[in-house]
Amino acid sequence: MVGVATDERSATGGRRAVRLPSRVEERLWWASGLVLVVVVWQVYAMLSTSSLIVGPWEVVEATGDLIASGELWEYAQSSALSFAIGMLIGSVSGLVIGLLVGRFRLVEITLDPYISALYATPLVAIIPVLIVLLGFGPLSKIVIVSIFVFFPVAINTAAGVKEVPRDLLELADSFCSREMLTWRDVVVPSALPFIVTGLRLSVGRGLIGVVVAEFETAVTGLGYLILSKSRRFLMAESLVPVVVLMIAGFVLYSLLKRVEDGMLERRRGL
Amino acid sequence: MDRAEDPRLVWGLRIGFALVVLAVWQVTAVRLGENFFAAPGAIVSSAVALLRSGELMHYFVPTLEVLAWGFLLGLAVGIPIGLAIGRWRRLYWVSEGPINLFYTTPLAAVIPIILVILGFGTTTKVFVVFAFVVFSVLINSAAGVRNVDGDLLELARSYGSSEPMLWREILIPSALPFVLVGIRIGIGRALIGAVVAEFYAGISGVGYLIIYYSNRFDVASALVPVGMLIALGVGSTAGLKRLQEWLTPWASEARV
Amino acid sequence: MAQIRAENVEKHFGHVQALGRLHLEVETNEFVSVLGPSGCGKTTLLRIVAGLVPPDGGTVYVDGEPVTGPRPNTTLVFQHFRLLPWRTAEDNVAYGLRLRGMAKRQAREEVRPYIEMVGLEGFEKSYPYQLSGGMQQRVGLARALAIDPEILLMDEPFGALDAQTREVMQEELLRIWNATHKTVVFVTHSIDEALVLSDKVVVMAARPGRIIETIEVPFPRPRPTNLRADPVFAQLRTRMWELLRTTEPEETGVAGG
Repeated sequence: MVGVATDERSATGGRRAVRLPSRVEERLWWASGLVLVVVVWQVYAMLSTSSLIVGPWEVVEATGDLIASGELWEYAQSSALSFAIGMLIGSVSGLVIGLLVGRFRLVEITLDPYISALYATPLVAIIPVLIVLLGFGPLSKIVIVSIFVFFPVAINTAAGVKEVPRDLLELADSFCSREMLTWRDVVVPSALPFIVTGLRLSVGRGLIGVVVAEFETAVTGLGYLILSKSRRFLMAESLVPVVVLMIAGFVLYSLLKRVEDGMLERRRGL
Repeated sequence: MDRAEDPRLVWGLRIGFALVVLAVWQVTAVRLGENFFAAPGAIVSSAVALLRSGELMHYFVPTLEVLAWGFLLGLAVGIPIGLAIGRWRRLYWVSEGPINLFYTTPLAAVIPIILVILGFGTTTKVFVVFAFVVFSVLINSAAGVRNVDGDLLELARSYGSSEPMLWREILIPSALPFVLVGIRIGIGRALIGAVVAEFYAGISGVGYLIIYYSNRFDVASALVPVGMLIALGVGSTAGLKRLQEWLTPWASEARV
Repeated sequence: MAQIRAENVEKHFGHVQALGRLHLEVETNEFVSVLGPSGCGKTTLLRIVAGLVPPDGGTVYVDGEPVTGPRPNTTLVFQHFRLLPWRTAEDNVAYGLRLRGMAKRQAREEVRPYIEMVGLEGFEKSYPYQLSGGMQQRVGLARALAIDPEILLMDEPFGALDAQTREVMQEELLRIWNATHKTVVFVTHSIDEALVLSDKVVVMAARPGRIIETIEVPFPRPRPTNLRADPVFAQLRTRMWELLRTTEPEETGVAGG
């Protein structure tokens, strides 16, 4: 069967070889897709009579201005700090709960329905309430980010622990491994790719948490920058933080994706 | 681990846990100030009051309308485009970059900007929900078609299948479980989009209700619509799981 | 004239020569097995005959016409069944007829004799995941027969089944073949299977894939179930074993069909 699969792949490869190498073709199409979006956006903005529609070039200019004035840096720092601390607290607590849920059946029975239910709900709804309770400072933002991050990490960690191959656990048992050692040698390493998946999925949620919290508190941060600029109809400037968030999200996401793929690859190699 | 547990134990643990949480919450809230820290009892009485006055329904119905329209539009656009992208690789290559870009963008961040451009009406909210839904549906539909078993494609070829029959017999059934996952993720995102849009746009919907009571420091009342959204999220997810089992029995059973 | 004739068929995958200038003839209503070690190109040969892969050189003729793509009078039976997971057994059997534009209800009527022929009565409404491997391949076989092809190409159809089921399926296939008399090309790497089923066994060697010997199987049909006890069977078996052994399979790690 393996041979058949190989044959198939090389069969199509053989026919394609006459044309442009498919990797090159793929890259070209891929790049032209992105270029197309930027060009269409720019042309649309230039044709539009509304002053509210701004093109990519104006956003680039506005970025320069906001960097020069130091505004962007100041607000980004505030968001980044809350995001980082929230991420840390949320993922550590998600990890701990996820490991317990995955390893101990009684914990799973008790907590699983609540965790799944809260994961399925639009948690943004509690942001205004939390801010009333915790105030307009960074504490609110940190708590909100941790809550947002907690669920994907906990759920994926639990799933990862449950996926630990049973024969590995039996192997550990047969060597009379103590529970702590089993965790170190078997459970955590084999759940690790899942944990990274959880982190990857929580990046986007964490960013949403920070931004919406900053919309609400309206004191500082990239969310506040978006809100204040758009309220004054400075559309280009209000898009700058959006781009920053986009890049931040994309970079973190791809980084974690790479880590994850690396782990899975190494595992397959075994 | 796979053995069936005694249901008395299962429900005993679950309900017991909930009771402990509620009790701790109630005691703490009463100590620290019942209204501000919204004890469970206070939330229940607020809920009764909001339901009696009809206020809750008055704000909930517009939200449901916005959700329904945006969601359906998202499906109507996302599924066909996603399927097409999954089938034709040039289309996939050219759209992959932009789609991932939009999908990874924290859309919530753009909502204030959309509101300024499109105005504060219902259309804007529907658009926001649509934007939140469409990408997850689209990406998953495309993945479904791309994940079709190559062996089955070859089977179809060896039997001389036409393109319409290929879609009908192989591509669509094979993509269906993925499309349903996209829809499930889409519902979650739709709720987020609707709520955040209502935080800032106009004076209707549960989102507005939450803001209204929060700004009055009436946490108990603010948590009532939150509870309703939780119920909506959990309910729709459970409903979709049922739908999934019913529509794609081969996919769920095979995993057992 | 031979119904299937392969002339000078060549196929390369990168630098590997999968098939080198290969000749093969299969008469109408003949049951021919292609026997060979893993990676000798026997599956590739079958796929070229089926019109799924074009050869790099040479031509395959079916009924005197060169093969350029899948043909309606030729059907494949696959090693891993390839059933549609979302269709019931009867709808899987009806697949070929549906593709030819037949309405669902009529197609279900039409396939009933084939369902009975392969012994699937009572399982019409089962989904593939509810069936054992042997039952799944019965569906695969009925699906191929249902479009009433002249030629059946079978790619190690029983290779994924356990030994016992495999023998049962061989007997079933013999019975069905006696009733329908299709032209069959049957790829296998089991000597016993080839001997039990075929009129003629074509033995292949690898690198490049080539035919090293064609052996006529002398047993009359219908064949007794205790054919394996026949001394001639043992002789032929030994001879084929020697042939396969002298062509020593390729280095380890290269799997194949």
